[in-house]
Amino acid sequence: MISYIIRRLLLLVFVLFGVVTLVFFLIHFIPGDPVDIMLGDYALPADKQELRSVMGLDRPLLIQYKDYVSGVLTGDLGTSIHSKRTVLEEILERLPASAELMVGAMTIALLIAFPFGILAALKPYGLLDSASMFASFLGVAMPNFWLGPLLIIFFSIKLDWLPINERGGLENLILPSITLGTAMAAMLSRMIRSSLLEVLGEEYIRNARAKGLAERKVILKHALRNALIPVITIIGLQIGVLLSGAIITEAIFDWPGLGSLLLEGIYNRNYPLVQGCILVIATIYVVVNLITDITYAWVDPRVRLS
Amino acid sequence: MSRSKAMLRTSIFTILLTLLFLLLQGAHAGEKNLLVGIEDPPKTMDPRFSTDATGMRISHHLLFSTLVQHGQDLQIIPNLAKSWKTPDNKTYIFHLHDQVRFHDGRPLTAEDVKFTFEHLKNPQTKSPFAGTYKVIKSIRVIDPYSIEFKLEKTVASFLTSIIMPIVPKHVIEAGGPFHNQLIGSGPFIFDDQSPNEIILKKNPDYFMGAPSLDRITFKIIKDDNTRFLKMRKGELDLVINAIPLNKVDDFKKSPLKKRYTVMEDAGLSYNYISFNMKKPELQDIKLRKAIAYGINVEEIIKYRLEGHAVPSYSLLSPVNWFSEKNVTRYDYQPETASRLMDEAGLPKTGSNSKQPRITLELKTSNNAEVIGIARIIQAQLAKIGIRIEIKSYEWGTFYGDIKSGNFQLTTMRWVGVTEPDFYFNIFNSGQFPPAGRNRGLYKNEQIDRLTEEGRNILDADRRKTIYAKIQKIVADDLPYISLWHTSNISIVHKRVSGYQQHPMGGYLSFRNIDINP
Repeated sequence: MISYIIRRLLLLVFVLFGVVTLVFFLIHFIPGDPVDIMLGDYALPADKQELRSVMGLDRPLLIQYKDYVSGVLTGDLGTSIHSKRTVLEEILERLPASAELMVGAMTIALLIAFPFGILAALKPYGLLDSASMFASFLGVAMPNFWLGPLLIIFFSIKLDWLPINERGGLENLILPSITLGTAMAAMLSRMIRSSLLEVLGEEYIRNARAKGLAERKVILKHALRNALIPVITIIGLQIGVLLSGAIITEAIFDWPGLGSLLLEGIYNRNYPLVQGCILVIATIYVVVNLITDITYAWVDPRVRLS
Repeated sequence: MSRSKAMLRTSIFTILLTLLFLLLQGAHAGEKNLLVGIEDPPKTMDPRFSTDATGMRISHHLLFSTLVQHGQDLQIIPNLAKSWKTPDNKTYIFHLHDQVRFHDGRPLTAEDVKFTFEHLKNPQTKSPFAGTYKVIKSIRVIDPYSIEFKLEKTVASFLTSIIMPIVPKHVIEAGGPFHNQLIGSGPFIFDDQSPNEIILKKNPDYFMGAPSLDRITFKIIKDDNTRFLKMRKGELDLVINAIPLNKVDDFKKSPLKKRYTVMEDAGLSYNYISFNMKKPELQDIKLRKAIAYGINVEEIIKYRLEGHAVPSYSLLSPVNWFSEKNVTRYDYQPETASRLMDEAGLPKTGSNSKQPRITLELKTSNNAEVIGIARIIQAQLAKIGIRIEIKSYEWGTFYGDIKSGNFQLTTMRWVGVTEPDFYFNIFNSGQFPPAGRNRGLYKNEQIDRLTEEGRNILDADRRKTIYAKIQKIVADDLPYISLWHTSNISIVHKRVSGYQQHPMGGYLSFRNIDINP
C-alpha cells in the first residue's frame, strides 16, 4: 500500500511536468501579449517594445521556459504581472473559497442524489423512478447561467430570504451550491440507481434476504456498499471539476474562487498566473484521483492496490 | 411534543440569527459608506503601474493627488498645483499647495514631485509610463513648494501627460512592497482589499477639506445581471457605466424611479469606420461620402444601443472644449448616397436594382455586439447597392491586421480621447504603421501641417482654432466616418447627493458626495 502511494506520487511529478510544459507553450502561442493589454491601443509601439524587454518577454521562449521550470522546482511560481504579488499568494487567497463552494455543491448533490437514487432503484419503472428520472433530466439540462439568476430573482429579490451574491456566511453559500450542485445531483442519482439495480440482482442479496435480514439492512449495508464503487469514481472526478471549473457559477455569484482567477489570468495574458493556476488545478486532480483509488480499497476489500 | 420542541429550537435559532444580524448592522450604523458597483477588479492600484480604467480612477482621483486634473469640460484645472506658468514653451513652473500631507502624516513637497517623475522615467522601475516622460529633460526644485520642469521640445499636451499621482519619496525609497500600502495624499485612504471588495476610508486631513463620506466600498460584481439585480434591490448606491443598456430604462420608470436618478451625458468613446486610403477603390471621395450618407446612425442607436448614444460628427466628444460643432454632417440620405454612387462611376446595373454596384470588405473583431452592428450597416448599405462582406477575427488576429494596415474597411472605437493632439497620431502621414496609428494611411498635407502646428503652440485659444480647422477638413475628407459617442450613464440612489458625472467616468466628485439617511 505504502509503496503504491509512493509510486503514484512519483508519477505525479511527471504528470505535472507535462502539464507545466504544455500550458507554458500553449499560453505563449495565443495571439496577444500582456504588454498589449497593459498599455492598450494608445501606447507607442516603441514603448511597448521597451516594456517587453524590461519584463523579459522578448527573450527566446526556450530561455523563458527554462527560467520558469527552474523557478517552479524551487517552489517559486513567479509574480503576477499586474498586481506584482506572488502567484502563490494570489492562488492561496482564492483556494478556500473554491473549497467552500465545492463542499457546498457536493453536499447538495449527495443530499439529493442518494435518497432519489435509492428510492428509484427500489421500485424501478414506478412512479417515483419516472419522477426522479424526469427531475434528473431537468437538472442536467438546466444550465448554470440560467439557473443561477433564476434562483437569485426568486429567493433574493421576490422572497428576500437570501443574499444576492458574494461570499459570506452559510446563507451566502446556499444559492451557489444549488446552482453548481444540481447538475451533479442529477447525474449522481442516475448513477446510484443503475449501479444499485445491478447489485440488487446479485445472488448474495437474495441470500441476505433469505437469512431474514431486515430490508433496510439489506439495502444500506449489503447492496449500497457494493454499488458505491462507480459512484465514488464520479465523485472523485467531480471534486476536481467543482474546484476549478465553477467559472460560470463563480461569475454569477461573485464567488472569489480559482476558476475566476484563472479566467482573469487568461483574459489579461497574465502568463505566470495562468501557469500557476493550472499547475495547482492539475495537482488537485491527480491527488484526488489517488485518494479515490485508495478509497476503493477501503470500500471494496477485493480491490488490492499494488 | 418533539414537534413543538423542534419548533422552539428553530425559533430560538432564528432569533439568535436576527440578533447577530442586527448587531453586525449596528456596528456600522450611522457611518456614511458609499457602495459602488464595478465590473472588474483593478489590475493594480499602484499608480506607477496601473493602466486599466478602474485602477487609474481609484489611484488618480481617490488615493493620490495629481498636479493638475481634467475639469468637467476636459480643460486642465489645478489640483496639487495651485498655479503654474510657462516662461517659455519648454519650461513649466508649478506652485504647490503647502498644506498637503501624505496619509502617513509626512508633508508632500516638491521633492516628492521630482522623485515621482524621475522614478517613473527610470527603466529600473519598469513603469509602463517611462516612455511618456522621456520628453522631460530636467526637474529642478526651486523651493519646497515650487518646481520647474524643462522639456526636450515643445509639447502642447504636456499638462495632460503629467496627470499622474505623486508618490511618497520616503516610502518608496525605503523599499518593500508598495501595492498594499498605497500611501497617497488624496481624499481617501486605502483600507482593505479582497477579491470582491476594495474599501477606502476618509482622509480627515485632506488638503481641500475632509470628505463627508466615512468610507467607500467598491463591490466587484462581474455578472451584468447580478449587478443590475443588486442595484435594483438597493444594495448599491452608485453604478457608473456598468448597467446593461437594455436595463437602464427600468430605473427611469416606476417603481424604481422613486429611488434612483439616472444621469446620462455624451461620453468620450468614439465609434467610427476607417477606410484604408491606399486601396484605389476607396480613394474616390464620392464613394466615401456615399457610404457616409448611406449609414443610418440614428437607427443603430435606437435599436441596437437602446437610445444610449448620440451621433458623432468629430473624434472629439461634444463635451470637449475643443469640439467643433460646425462641420459637414452626413445624416442618413439614401437618395444622395445613390446619386453619389452614380457620380463615382458606379451606376445601377440594368433593371435589376438588387445587383451590387461594388463589393467591399468590412473587418471586425469577433465581439458579438460589434458583429451585430456590422450586420445592420451591411443591410443599410445594401439598399444603396454596396455589398459588404463582414470578416470577423479573434481579437489578436484582428488587431494584428489593423495595426499593419491590412484591411479595406474596419469599424473600431477610440476610448477616452481628451487631448486633440490625438489627431496627430491618427491622421499625420508621419504616423503610418507599424510605428504609428494612422492605420488608414491617410495623407493630407494640410492636416500634416496643422497637426504639427497644434502640438507646438501652448495658447489654448489658438490651439482651438487649429483643431477646429482640422475637424472641418477631416469631416470633408472622410478618412473616418463618424458614427456615435456612447453615453456615460450613472445610476445613483436618491440617498446620495453631491455626485457629478464626469465625461471620463471618473471619481473626482466622490470627495463631495454625502449620504442622507
